[in-house]
Parts: sequence; structure tokens; C-alpha cells
Amino acid sequence: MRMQAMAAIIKKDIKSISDNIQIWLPLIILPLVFVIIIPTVLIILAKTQNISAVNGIDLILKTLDKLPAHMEVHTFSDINQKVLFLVLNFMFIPFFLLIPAMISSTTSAYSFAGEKEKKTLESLLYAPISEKDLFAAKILGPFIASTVVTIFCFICYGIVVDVLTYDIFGKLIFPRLNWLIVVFWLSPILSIFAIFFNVYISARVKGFQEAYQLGALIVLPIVVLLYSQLTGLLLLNNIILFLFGLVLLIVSVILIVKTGKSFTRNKLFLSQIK
Amino acid sequence: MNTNEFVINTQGLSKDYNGVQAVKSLDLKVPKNSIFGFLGPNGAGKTTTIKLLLGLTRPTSGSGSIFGQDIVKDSIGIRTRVGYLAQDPHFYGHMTARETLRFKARFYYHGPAAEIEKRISETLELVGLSDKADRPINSFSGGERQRLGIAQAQINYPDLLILDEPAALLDPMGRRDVLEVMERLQKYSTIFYSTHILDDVQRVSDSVAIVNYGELVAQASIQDLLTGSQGTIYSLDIEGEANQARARIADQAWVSGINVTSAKGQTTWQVSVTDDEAAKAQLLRLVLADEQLTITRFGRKTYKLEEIFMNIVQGGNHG
Repeated sequence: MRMQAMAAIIKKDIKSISDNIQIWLPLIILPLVFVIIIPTVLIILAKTQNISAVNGIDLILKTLDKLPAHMEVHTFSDINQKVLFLVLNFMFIPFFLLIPAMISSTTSAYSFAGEKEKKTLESLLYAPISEKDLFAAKILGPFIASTVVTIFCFICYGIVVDVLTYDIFGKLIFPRLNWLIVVFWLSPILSIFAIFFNVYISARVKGFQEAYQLGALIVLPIVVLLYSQLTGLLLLNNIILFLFGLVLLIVSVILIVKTGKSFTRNKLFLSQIK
Repeated sequence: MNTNEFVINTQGLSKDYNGVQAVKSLDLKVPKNSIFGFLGPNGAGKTTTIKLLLGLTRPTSGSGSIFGQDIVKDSIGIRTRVGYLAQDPHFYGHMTARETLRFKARFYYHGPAAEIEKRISETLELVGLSDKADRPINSFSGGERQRLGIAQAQINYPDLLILDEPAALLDPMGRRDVLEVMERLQKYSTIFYSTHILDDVQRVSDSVAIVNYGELVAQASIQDLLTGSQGTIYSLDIEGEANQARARIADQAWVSGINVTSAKGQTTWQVSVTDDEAAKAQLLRLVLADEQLTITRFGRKTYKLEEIFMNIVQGGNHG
């Protein structure tokens, strides 16, 4: 019965999101831009022009020079190949991480603050389900949505990159180990972090919009990563990706403990009637 | 009454919010199979009491049980046997009535989908929403929403149905529909409902409790409350000289007082009695022993609930 009740809540939450165009439209546009449009434009550019002549490419060329000699990128002789390989396999990682971050953040804001705003949470609070199971179900909805979309985007990105670049490289350049770490280690942890960050925020705001805006703060560390990547300050190698995930995991556990304590019927009911 | 005959039983149940006592030492006893009206003015503590019973908020002191199970420790178990309609129920607007009940049913049923769908259809029929079952709730009127609220509270065949102000926000037609649904449901469940609409209580309840400023100020069957709130009083309209008869009645041991008023040649007695059986058997005979008297009306005085409620609430007003 527990699992069935939890499944009902998860299904309901996912349906609520999929029925609300204001929620899912931005969540479609974001992956579409980062997974399909930008990589496609970039690859077409690399096929048709000398990429080193493109404005603003200096930053990437400088980064290329800083990369250790043993890296795969140095096995390519053509500058277009080098730039494409670097951008598609490394520089896109922070952009890609925006996908689980934004999806988790938006869906969890809707799931928690949205219910609070619409005063529908009360109907769940008097259901015969424990606080722990209710909490888990409310967390799992956004997590499943984020994970499914992230994996789907990863597959789409892989198809776009490999299909469009095969004639340039003569082999499949995607994925490499770093992407597997991104998709199966860092993204789920980032989703968990974003969800619990939103649960924490949702308990302190009145409605979805407020939670959504504050929840967007989650992208700040990713922007820092992006800047570090582009400027060559920090290359997201496998160890750094793993460590970044580990740090996020520790912060998430702290958030889980903190938010879990405030997820009691008593406190939620009081927040509902305020 | 045996403790087991009470579905709800509280002892000294109290709740403070920031130092303000919303519920004060409530001793509530709700008999099985009753329609129990929980009556009180706005802000009397009715909704807080319901939240305490459902385990949505914790008592500051005191205790309570439903079906003999503790309302704090066993609240999940209790909720499997209770249906609840909130004062202002909010639904997921994108869902239809049928989808709402399907969602709710998944908290209670394992069974085959066909059986669950059958139960959903039965429940929609019971509250008169079969023809609107597949419309989005956004398009429902207040009365329809309230009936849907009762349907979702009833989906698990609850032994106890708790309704918080089920008719407060409705127009007369909506109120009538909701009361009819409640009467239909009595054969399945004990119904405990809060309200401040006295006509509704008098119409459908068989037991009632009155709260004011968080305190329980009266608790009785509706019949006892309506007839015996100020002791039993018999009312007689008499024509003719009645002094002798009055003296004869006043001499009876079971008569505690006679209040006499006269208007247009007719005298009205309000006879307060301490033994109702003796009064029923003898009062009229004793008056009619005086053959020149004519009795034009005789009966036990009944009060309107409004009178009783106003007396109790105004009597208990704290300033």
C-alpha cells in the first residue's frame, strides 16, 4: 500500500507538471538549445569555416594550449577538430549540467511551493501515509523527471555529436568517461541538491514564483564552472568532476537532514494555514 | 454509555497557538452511528479540534482516541478508517472528478482496477456527480465541489466521516444537496461535522456538542437539548378561572414552578417539572378535574436550537 500511495503522488506530480505549459515549455526549450541547436550550429560552422578565424575563439585556443600533452585532443592535427573535440567533450559539460539543475529546481518548486500556494497540500497531509513516505514521494517525482530528461538529452546529444562529426573525425568522439561521470554521478547528485535546496526554500516562501526565482540561484555554481572552463582556470577532468559531485553530495546530505526535520505534518499544516 | 460505543473520545484535549488557547480541555464523546453536529461560532475552535483529531496538529495537552486508537501515536491507522472533508477543499484543478477519486483511492485499495473503478462510479452516483464525472474540476460550482469533497472523503468506506463546515459556503440549493448526501451516508458511517448553521444541525443531527472560545459548553442528543435544556416544561393554554387548579398543580411534589401569563382572556401556564413521567401521567388530568376549564393547547415546550445556542453562547461570552 505504501508503494502504491507513493506511486500515486509521483504520478500526480509528474502529470501536474506535464499539464502546465508554463512549467514544461522552458524545460523543453533549454535542452533543445543546449543539446541540439548550439552543437549543430557549432559543428556546421566547423565544417564550413576555418574556426580559428571566428571572433572570440581566442579563449578556447588559449585553453587548448594549456591542456596536458597526454590528452586525446592533441591526437588531432586539424585546429577545427581540436576545437570541436574540446568544446563538445569538455566545454559543453557546464551547459549540460544546467538541464538537471533547472528541471529539478523548477519541478520541485512546483511540487512543494506550488502545492502550498494552491492549498492542495492539506489533502495529502490527511492521507494515510507516513511523513517519511510522503516526503520521499514528493522528492522522487522531480528526481525521476530530471533523471529521465537528463538521460534522454544525453542520448540526443550523443546522436547529434556522433552523427554530425563522424565525417570530420572518422570515428565516434562521444561519449568519453567524463560524460559518463557527468550523467550518472554528477547529474543525479546535482538534481538531489537542487530538489532539497528548493524544499528548503519552499518552506520559507509563499508561492511557486518566489520559489522558482530563488531556486534559480542553483545555476550560479554552474556559471562559475562554465567561466572556469572557458578561461582555462579549471579543466573539468574526471577527478574534478568526481570531487565536485562528492562536495555536492555532502551539502545535499546536510540539506536532507535539515529539510527532513521540518517536514512534519504539524509544521507543514501550520505553513499551509499561514 | 460504554467507552467502546464512542467513536471519538477526548480527555482534556487542548491546543495553544503562540500562547492563545484555541481548544481548552475538551472532553468530547461522539457515539457510534450518529450524525454529530459540532456547533460553535466562527473562531470557537471547531477546525482546530478536527485537525487535532486527524493528527494534522499536535495537542498541547490532553489526549484523544478514535476507534480506541490514540490520535497522536496511531494517526496513520486512524486515517485509513476516516474520511475527511476540509472547510474549503482545494482540488487539483486539472483533474476530473473521476481522476480525483482514482488518485484518492490509490491510498486505500490494492484490488483489481475494475473493482476500484466500480467503487468510484458508486461514490460519484452517491453524491450525484455521475453526469459530471469526466469534466475538469475547474468548471465545478461550489456545491459540486463540496459534493466531490464528500465523495473523496467517502471513497474508502470510512467508519467515520469528518466534515468541516460542509455547507457553510453554499447557496440554499447546494446546502440542501449536501445535507441530503449526509443523510444518505449515515447508514455507512458515523458522521462528525462542524457547523455554525443551526438549521442544518436541527435538520440532520442526532447528537450535538457546542463549543465557544475553545470550551465545550454543551453536549447532548439533539432531542435532550431541544426539550430539556432548562428542565422539562409543559405549556398549557387555559380558558376559564384557573386559580384552584393552579393551587392543586403547585402542590404536586414533581412540580418545581408555574409561570403564568394572561392575554385576551386566555391564560398560559409554563409548568416546570422534575419528574417527566409523573407529569405526563397526571398533569392534564389534574387540571381537567376542574370541569369548568377548557384546555386549548397542551404539550411539552420545545426550544429552537437557535434559542438554546444563543443562550449558551451569550451566557458563556467572556466579555
